[in-house]
Amino acid sequence: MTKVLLIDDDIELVEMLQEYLEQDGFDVVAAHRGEDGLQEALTGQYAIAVLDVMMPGVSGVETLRRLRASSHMPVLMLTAKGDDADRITGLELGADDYVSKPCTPRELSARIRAILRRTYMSVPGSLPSSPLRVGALSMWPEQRRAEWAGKKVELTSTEFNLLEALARNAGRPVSKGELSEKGLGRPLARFDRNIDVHLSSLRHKLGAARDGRSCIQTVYRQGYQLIKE
Amino acid sequence: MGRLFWKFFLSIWLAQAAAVLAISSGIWLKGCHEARKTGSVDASPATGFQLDSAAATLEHGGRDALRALLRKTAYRPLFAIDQDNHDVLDRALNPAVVEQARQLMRQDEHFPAVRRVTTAGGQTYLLFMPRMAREPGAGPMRGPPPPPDWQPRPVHFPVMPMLYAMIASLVSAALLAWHFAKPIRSLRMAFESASTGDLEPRVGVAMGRRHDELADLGRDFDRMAARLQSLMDGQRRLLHDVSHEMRSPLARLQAAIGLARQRPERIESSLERIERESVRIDELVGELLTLSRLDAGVVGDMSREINIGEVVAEVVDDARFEADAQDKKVGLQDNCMATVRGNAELLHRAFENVVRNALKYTGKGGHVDVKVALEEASPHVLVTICDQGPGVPEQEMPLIFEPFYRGDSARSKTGGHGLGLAIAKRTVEAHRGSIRAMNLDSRGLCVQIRLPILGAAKRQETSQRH
Repeated sequence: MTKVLLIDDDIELVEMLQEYLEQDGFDVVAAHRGEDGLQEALTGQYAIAVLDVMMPGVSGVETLRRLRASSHMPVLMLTAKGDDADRITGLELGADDYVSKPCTPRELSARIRAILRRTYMSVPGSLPSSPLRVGALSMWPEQRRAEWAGKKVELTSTEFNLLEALARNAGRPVSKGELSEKGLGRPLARFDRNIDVHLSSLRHKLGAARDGRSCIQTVYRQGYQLIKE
Repeated sequence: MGRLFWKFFLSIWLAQAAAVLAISSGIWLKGCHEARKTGSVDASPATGFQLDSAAATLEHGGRDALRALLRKTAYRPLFAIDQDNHDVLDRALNPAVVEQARQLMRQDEHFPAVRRVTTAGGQTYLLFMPRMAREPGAGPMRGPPPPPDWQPRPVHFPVMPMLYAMIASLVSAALLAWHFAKPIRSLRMAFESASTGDLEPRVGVAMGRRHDELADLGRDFDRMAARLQSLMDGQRRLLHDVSHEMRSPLARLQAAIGLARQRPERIESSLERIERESVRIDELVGELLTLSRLDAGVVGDMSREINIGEVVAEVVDDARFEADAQDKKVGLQDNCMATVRGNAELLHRAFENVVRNALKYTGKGGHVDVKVALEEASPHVLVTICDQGPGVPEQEMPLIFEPFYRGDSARSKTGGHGLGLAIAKRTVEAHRGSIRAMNLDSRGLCVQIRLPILGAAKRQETSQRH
């Protein structure tokens, strides 16, 4: 069974969500403080962590920062509706997606499934094949490994999915809707800045093209394009 | 430069110009009047000697001797007039001058510029010297021309001094108008930016070292802006906190609904949860309303006389009921009789909030102590509520009466919204009292409420109830 770690300070809410998710077929462990959650998450036995941003003491954002220092496990953030600053900070720190609170448990469950699906089940018939090569970038989707000019690049699972989608279509623009489907596992919502934030952190992690430009280019009204040299 | 500047400038300048014009005209008119008063009869001291010698000649030598003298010597005309207004030399003379001379004679026999001489033949002559022409229209006067070095002094209108005065007043009016208009301009700009929501105080700086009513006005504006800013920040924070606080019960509500959908067979327990959450939301809204009413100063009937001991005892009795269930104790020590004027319901809720709060933080087996006592120095009653909880970190002490402040341990417990102490504080302040909190040396937090009492309060025998 897939293990889910729920980190939220609202004990009653966590209880109910736990019940719901367990009924939905997940194995849920709850933590009510950032420190406890971090410790649990770092044991490596969880497929995904659901993290509340607003927590007393060590906040969700701080927990995420510490988690990302040593783990690339998928993280779904629970943010307050309308609090864009928290959301963007979270995405920049490497959260895979967010759900705004209050949310229905069904939506939460669906989001968890979407992230898990693209992270762990996107590998059909894992035959070790030749890597995907675009310029200085080499990707091994089966091993979820990427290199830039021979150096390993650390990517979160969402970033990896987005980069894979761009690499498979290198040299032509990929629309944001398509990126959202492939990277986040859900259709693009209106005013969703999610993709932009992820791509901006991808640009930071990857090097520049030979002419000094960023290897990922924004194509006006069409989406993003990985430069094929 | 704004319209105000021009208004100030023009009115000040016009006033000054009018004053200059009035003063100049005054001086000019006075000059003219004096010239007219002395008229055509020369009253200067120099004429006295000539008149004396002419009078002596006429008196002793007769009319002919005077004629000879006048023909020979007088380069300035000296007239001798008989009763019929005929001059001894038959010179023509302006009758007005003659009339003036006669009038001067009548007014004052000893006027130095006119002599009356009666000759041996019984003829009476009037002797005087007319002044040389000083103004146009003084009338024709025959006689030897005045010497070239003698210049008449005309009474000119003072044009040049007036021009200088006008320029000076122009400059001073401009300076004065600028002095008035500048601070008003900076005030206006501050108001303008305030109306767009920018309440940064800045007028005081623009006033510089100015110390007058306008500068005070600017500083008052700054104070007002700063106060408004802090109030608005508070409101914004409150709104943010309220929406956040609303979200937690709503999230639980949605989770409970989701559970009910997922497992229809357990709908009963889900409905129970849904009910609990909706009651919580209702409580939160009720507390928010109370808080906002207190903030707005809507406190209802404040005229009742309330026995503080009774209210506190009621609250303690209620609290004991709950405390028993949690294996906690509430002690009451009341050794006075204190009456306060105010709203019993609000006070009850304020004490209840503080006592419940104390109970919440006190661990199992612990106890909360409530004490009512009169203050020694002033007519105030002190209600002290001490718990055995973890206390509050000193740096957070000023915050505990703010809405939505909650201690770390209170947050994870879902009871309470962090509004109880804020309501208590506002209630006590509405009763002109004060509330403060301090950590106990041993362990726990003490909240002290101080209220002004009515009239003389009797000290009672210490009655301890447990």
